[in-house]
Amino acid sequence: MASIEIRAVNKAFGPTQVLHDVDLEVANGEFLVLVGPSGCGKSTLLRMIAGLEEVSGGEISIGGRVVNDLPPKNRDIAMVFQNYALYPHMTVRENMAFSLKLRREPKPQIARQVEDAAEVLNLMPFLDRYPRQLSGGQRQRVAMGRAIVRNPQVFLFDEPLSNLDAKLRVQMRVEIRSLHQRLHATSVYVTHDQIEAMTMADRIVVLHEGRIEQVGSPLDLYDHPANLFVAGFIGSPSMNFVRGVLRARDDTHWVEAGDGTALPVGGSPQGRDGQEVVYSFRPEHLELGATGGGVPAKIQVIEPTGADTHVFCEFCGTQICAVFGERLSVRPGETIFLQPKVAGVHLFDAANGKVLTNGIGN
Amino acid sequence: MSSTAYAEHRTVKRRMRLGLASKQALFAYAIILPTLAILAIFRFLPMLEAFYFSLTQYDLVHPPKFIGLANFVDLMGDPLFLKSARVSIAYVVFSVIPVLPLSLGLAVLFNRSLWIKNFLRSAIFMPVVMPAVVMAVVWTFMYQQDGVINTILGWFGIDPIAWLRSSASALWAVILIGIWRATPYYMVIFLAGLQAIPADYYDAAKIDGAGGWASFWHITLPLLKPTTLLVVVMNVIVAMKVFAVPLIMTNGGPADATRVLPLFIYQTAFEFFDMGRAAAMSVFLFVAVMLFSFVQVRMFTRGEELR
Amino acid sequence: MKKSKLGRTLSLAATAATLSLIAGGSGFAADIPAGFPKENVTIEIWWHEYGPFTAYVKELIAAYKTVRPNVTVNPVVTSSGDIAQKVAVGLATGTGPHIVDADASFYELYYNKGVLEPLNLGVFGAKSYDEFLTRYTPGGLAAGTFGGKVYALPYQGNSMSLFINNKAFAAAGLDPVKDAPKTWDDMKALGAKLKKVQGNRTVQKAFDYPYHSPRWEMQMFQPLVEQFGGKLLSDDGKTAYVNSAEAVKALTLWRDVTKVAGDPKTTKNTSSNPNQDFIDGLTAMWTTGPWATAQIRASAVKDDFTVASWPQVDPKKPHTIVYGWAWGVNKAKPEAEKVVAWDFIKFMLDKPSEWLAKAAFVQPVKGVSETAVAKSFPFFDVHMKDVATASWYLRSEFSSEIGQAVGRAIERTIYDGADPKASLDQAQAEVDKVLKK
Repeated sequence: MASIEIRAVNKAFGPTQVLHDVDLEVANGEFLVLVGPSGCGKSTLLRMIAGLEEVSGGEISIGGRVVNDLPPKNRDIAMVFQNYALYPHMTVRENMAFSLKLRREPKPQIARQVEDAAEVLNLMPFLDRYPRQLSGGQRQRVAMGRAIVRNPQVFLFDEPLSNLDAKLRVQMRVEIRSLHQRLHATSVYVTHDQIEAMTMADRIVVLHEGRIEQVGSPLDLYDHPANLFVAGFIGSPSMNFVRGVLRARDDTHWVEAGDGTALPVGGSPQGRDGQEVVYSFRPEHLELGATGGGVPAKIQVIEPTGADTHVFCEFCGTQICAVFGERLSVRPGETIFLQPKVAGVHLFDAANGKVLTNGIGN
Repeated sequence: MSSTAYAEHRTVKRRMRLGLASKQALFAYAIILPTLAILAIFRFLPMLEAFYFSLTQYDLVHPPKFIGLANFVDLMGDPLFLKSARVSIAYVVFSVIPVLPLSLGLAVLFNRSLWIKNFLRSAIFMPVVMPAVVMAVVWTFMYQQDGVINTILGWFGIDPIAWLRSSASALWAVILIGIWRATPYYMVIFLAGLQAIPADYYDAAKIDGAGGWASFWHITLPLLKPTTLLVVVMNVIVAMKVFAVPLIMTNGGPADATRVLPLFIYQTAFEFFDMGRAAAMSVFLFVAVMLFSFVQVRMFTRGEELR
Repeated sequence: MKKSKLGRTLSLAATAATLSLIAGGSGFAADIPAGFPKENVTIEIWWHEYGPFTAYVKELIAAYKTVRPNVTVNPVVTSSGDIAQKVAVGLATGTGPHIVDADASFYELYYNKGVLEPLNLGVFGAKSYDEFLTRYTPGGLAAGTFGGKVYALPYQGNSMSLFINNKAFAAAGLDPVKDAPKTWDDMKALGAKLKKVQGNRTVQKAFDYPYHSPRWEMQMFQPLVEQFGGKLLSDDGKTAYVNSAEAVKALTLWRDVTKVAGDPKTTKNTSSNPNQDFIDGLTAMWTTGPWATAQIRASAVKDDFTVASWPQVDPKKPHTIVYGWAWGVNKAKPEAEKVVAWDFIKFMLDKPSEWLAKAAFVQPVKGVSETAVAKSFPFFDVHMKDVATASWYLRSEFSSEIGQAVGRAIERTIYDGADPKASLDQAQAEVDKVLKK
């Protein structure tokens, strides 16, 4: 097993710079998830670790060895591709054995290793089938099998679940996690799906336009987003943003929304009186007030998910979402009164998006 | 009462649906009919007729006389036919085999990003768009005793070769043109085949530890199998039908060295006026092509289906 | 011979001939044959492409319109390589034209297939075919006469004579007239003096036989066999003697002459440019017909050439060849149109001296030598001498097959070193198979 160190890495395709001075460390045995919207550079970074893309600037080392100029086969890594990239003309067994065969390992050893991996992944019955004879989930497992069969130092996953249906995806998430817990291999996992990131990662790296926005544990990112981008990206339904102006009178702080509504802020946030801010709170951090208490919100759409109820409404001139664990007897068009829980309020600087105050923990 | 009405309703509905379908079908038929008719009249009918003529003695003037399989029996013992068949086989074997590595190699080369690619690609494609007659004439000049090819050979101290004027080299000279002409054409087909292989497989192979050769051998070649089959079958058919180049360059000579079957068929039909025999040779050629294609397809698709 | 003088003479002759055509035209116009239609008629004529020839026939078509205003003649010109197949298929399938042009050796085949219309004696004002034959040189119509009737009229009957490059001879200290080879032994002796080899390249051949087409090979082989006292085909055309002792001698001679004088691997001759080596100065001597005169004079050789009689085995018993092209009429056409077709052929062939002047074609009719054009034509007497000792090119329904079989035998011996007897035995077997049909 090995750690990965990424120092001041840059990547440019011609004149287009896709990664800017990325610094990152992946600890030995860690499961790190790179997450970000499409085009943020996460797959490029992964492919650079794999050795499939050249490094334009900076240094990547695996297990303390700089690998910038090493071909993939000398990096001791394995990779699972989005489309699985299973060789269509080889059986499952041949697919899994391919890398071992190229390494000229003895045949009995290859057979044993393949069968061990197949055992782990419940692939024994499919060993002699061709990829086209397998279901999506089975193919996914073969792709995993191909990766684990040779005990690499590092596993790289490039959106491996995005071609699966929702139910299978949940199941595979669990499988990958339990596999990781068994093998304890250093893993870098790329996804655009923040739920996948949240549920699987030891640590999450949020990438945006070629830059790292924030690195941290899932709950850390959820509770203490460093900026507006991370705040909006992590969490579903996503955080609500209301633009306003910070007001400070003596020790009291509040935010004056665009329509003049005063919104409560706990503690003493950074920032000066009159600063333009974004007043943010997660959908579950709203309390339903009695008539006249809190801010009036006109209901536009109600989405009952069964477990809880999502209410989309107009709040201080902005559309927001509120989530309630209980079932509500309200209808679209009605007005309800909502009160943000002060402990869940985050303030961001409207000018640069940086956090001023994370409510929880204050 | 109501059930009848229901049934009637159903029938009407079905008739309407059928009406739409058949209208579409009618339209489709209307579009392909002229092509089908042209094919039938100018291709299939003459082909069928050739099968009939092969069983007759026919000099184009007097009505064909049915003689059963006599033409075929006679051909089997005709040294001229057997020689011509041997020439054709040699032509096919030696003009098809080198085309495979050459066209595939060029395709692999052009599949990479080379700055000179576009220019080279048009230059290399030239032979395909050049009419066979023009090409044959140009090559005839190049093959002359003091032609370009011997001049170039001279630079390397190689004695001039009497390319078309020697029964030992004439067939090779004609084969060389076949290769030169076929290579760029099949290169384009291979190129299309290469571009259809997802880059993912190569990434996966790199991760699995495959170098350039290994991924060509284990990934590219197996995945090009359908393309290769197409190229081999097409190339063999084209090679078996080669006609214009030997006709113009050597007229089958010297001493029959380049008299491929199609040329012999043509001479038999239109110089010797023996349509029956010529038709029998055509049938022979047809069966040979069919058999070969069949064996090829079976060989290539044995075991596993592709993708 | 100086070019300017000859050129002037030829052009004068051509002018004179044209004048005589116009003058003679009125006579032709009045002479309308029996059965000639009065209503408008269109006939079609096919011929093989050769620049001067095509130009002249087109001229004749225009002139014919002035004497037979109700007739339109549609011309179709085809390359010499394709015409035989086109004519054969056209005649066989009934889609051919009224008048066909074919190498004289093909008429036997057409006659045997029954697709030819015999010559219309009325149109030519002849009492009988025998009488008509007397208008031609002896044997002049042999290639077109079958069963006592004439079926094809030649517009050229070419001798094959020996063309000599004067410069090449002078360079070797030879005189093209005095030192011209009379026999093949002479030829072998000259070969050593005239053939020049640099390293592994032959830069000048003394003499070469043709190899660009089986037809030309046969044209040279047939008279050689005859010079040894043999023949290739029985008079009834049913038996071939391709491997006779005489034929073997002929091929052996061919091979031996070639070794000393020629180099079959060094040649640029092709079916469409058969005289290329001579024109390029690559060979000092070459066999070809009078028709090549214009082409040679237009080349770098200019008038620096001499024509000598074709070499012989025994100059006392000379044998040469004549071959040619002839017009024939398609039997499948309506009677009246066939009358028109023969009438147009008569009109075309009416002025042999004009054919000589404009296309350098020699018609095998009597009296051509006496014309002014003939007298000014370079070496006309030599050509006529070779015609007088000539047989027509092999006449057989199977002349293509026989020609190809013999051509292959020659190539086997010359290119692959096969023994002449063995090579001709194989050809004999091939020809026997064909003749059995």
